[in-house]
This record gives sequence, structure tokens and C-alpha cells, in this order.
Amino acid sequence: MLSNPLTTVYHTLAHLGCENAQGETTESGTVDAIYDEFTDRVVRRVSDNKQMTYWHNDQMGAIEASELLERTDANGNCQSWSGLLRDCSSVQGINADRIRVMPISIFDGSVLVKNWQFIDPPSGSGSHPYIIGTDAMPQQGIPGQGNANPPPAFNGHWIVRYDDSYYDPSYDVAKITGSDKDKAYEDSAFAGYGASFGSGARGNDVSTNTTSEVSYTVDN
Amino acid sequence: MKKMHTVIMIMPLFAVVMALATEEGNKADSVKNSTNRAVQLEGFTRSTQVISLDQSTEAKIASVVPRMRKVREVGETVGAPQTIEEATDFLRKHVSMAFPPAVCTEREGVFYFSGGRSASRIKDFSSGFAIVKGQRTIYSWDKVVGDAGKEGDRGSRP
Repeated sequence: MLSNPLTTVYHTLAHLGCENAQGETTESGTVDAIYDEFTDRVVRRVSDNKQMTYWHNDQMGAIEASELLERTDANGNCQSWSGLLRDCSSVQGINADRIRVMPISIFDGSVLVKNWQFIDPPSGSGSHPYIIGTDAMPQQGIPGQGNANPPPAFNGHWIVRYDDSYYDPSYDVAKITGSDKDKAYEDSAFAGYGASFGSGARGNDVSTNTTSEVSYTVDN
Repeated sequence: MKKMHTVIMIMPLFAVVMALATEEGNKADSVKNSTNRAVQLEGFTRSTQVISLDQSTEAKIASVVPRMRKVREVGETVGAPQTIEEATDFLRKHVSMAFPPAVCTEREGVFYFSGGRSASRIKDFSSGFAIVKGQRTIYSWDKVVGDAGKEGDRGSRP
């Protein structure tokens, strides 16, 4: 252990942390080394060696890490996976936060996780002119933990923040670091937004002169 | 002796009637205090319908109560929901969902949501969420506790 644990020490939390961060002497090095274990999308529990999954069979499963470690189907949503990485860090004495990522605008009701196809010209009008199922079509998504094609849209997404970096343990994505990480994470993860009213959608504005259209809130 | 026997026979009946009367009273209070009403919910949950508590819904909800388990406790920095609109917003902010609950209703001070636990529309309360009025704890249940199978096709409108 790098330091005294800050949370309940479940066997899997200690195992994932100690095995992957062996020899690390810094907090950031330890968190990065633990996250490496998540990026191949095969993470197993110690108790039954079962691979844990993300939205397996389009089912939410666990919301908290403790439930992900306990459920017989070992399946969970992004909150449970973010909780798992946070708690692996906490067992090493490192404070990381689970972060809720949601659209800022009241006109955006959902985040469309990559990948989506927007077909021009859109058949609708207004701020969300692409009609979902008609000219806004979900494509093969970014692979998730034990799931090659997770659901394409959510009300929001939960990730982990440690120091100056965002980590997304639900998917196979690199950590995002730096002062522009809010915008960088948004552009790396979301293809667009579903409308709050009606069935329209719009693409994410990825132009460099814009700010992030999602909020980042601590939600441990 | 016969009079005594009659009194003994009547006593349990009286107790049952009183109990039912009390239950009816509680239900009447519950209905009176219910926040169920036809409102148009917004955002991600715009397709979630607030329904009144009919006998069929009552039976469905009663059958899932034993399968409910606590899945999330939200810190005190957030207000506890008092109405079905607030409960819907509370759920939206604190659970990552791929598809909104199809219907919701209030029953005896508890807000029940059908669906939201899969990427498809679930109207029959076979899976869902519950939040006690005035509390920040979220309960859920699945079709089969622990192992949830595929319930249907993905909904087309997130």
C-alpha cells in the first residue's frame, strides 16, 4: 500500500491496486498504473475470477462498486466502474473523486456516446434538427468493459478525476489531462446530444474556440 | 353462556373491521397526500408518464417490494424529494440510465419508477427504482435478483 486506506478494503480493491501499482512511489504513478489494468477491458474479481462487465446485455446492473463486487452477474453501469477505480485508489490512500458529467443546457436531455452518424440534410429543424432513428443513427460504439457495444445514449456519464486528469474506466480510452480537459474529454467521448423536448439530436460542437457543453460535478 | 360465546365470536371480526378501517384511513391519507398528477416531465425523462395508482399497478408494485434493495445513498448536500417531479429529477441526477423509466407513481409515501434499469422501455414494474418521500436513498429491483437477462430491444429514443 502507498498509504493508509481511506475506504473499506475489499479483496479485489486491494488486489487490483497492489498488483498493478507494484513499485510505484507516487500517487499519480499509482493511479495511472491501476488505470492501466482497466484499459484492456478485462477486469476480474478475486473472489470468483469473474470478469466484470459494463451494461452487459443492455442491463444496468450495479450502481456502486461494492455491488459490482457482490452481484452474481458482475455487471454494472459507469457509476459502479468509476466507483471501482476511485476505491482502488482510496485503498492506496489516494483521494480521487467520482464525477458526474451532464449536459449544461436545459435543451440537451441526453449525451450521445460515440459513435453516431448524423445524416445531412437533417429532416428536422431548430437546435436539434437530426431526428433520432431517421437521420441520427447510433453506430458500433466505443467498446466498454466486457461489452463490445454498450448502449449509445445516457442521461449522463460518470468518470473519475484525480489531480489534473479525467479517467473513464467504463471504456477503453486514454486519460485526459490538462487545463482544457473539460472540453477535451467531452470531444473524446460524446458525438452529440439528444433534445430535452421531442426526438431531435444535434452533433457535439468540436470547434476549438468553444468551451465544454457538459458540467463536471463531484458525486461520490 | 350463549351470550359470552357471541361476544367472543364478534371480537375478532371487530378487530378485523377496525384494522381494515385503519388501513383504509391510511390509504385515504396516502391518496390525499399523493403527488400523483398528470404533469409533463422534462428532459431525459420527458417520456416518463405519471400514472394514478389503480388496482393493477398496486398489485404489481406490491409484488416487487420484497425484491427491492438499497443501491445508492446520496449525501445531505442535496435536497430530499417531496414530490414525484422532484423524485424524477433526483433519479435523473443520481443514476446513469440508458433509457428513462416508462411510468412512475406514488404509493404510500414511496415513489416507484418502472424501468430505467435497461436500455428498453419497461412498463410493467418488473424492474425499476423506488425513492421514499423525504429521503435520499435509492432502491431498485430487477426481473430476477442478481442476474438480469435481456429484457427487450433497445429503445429507439434515448
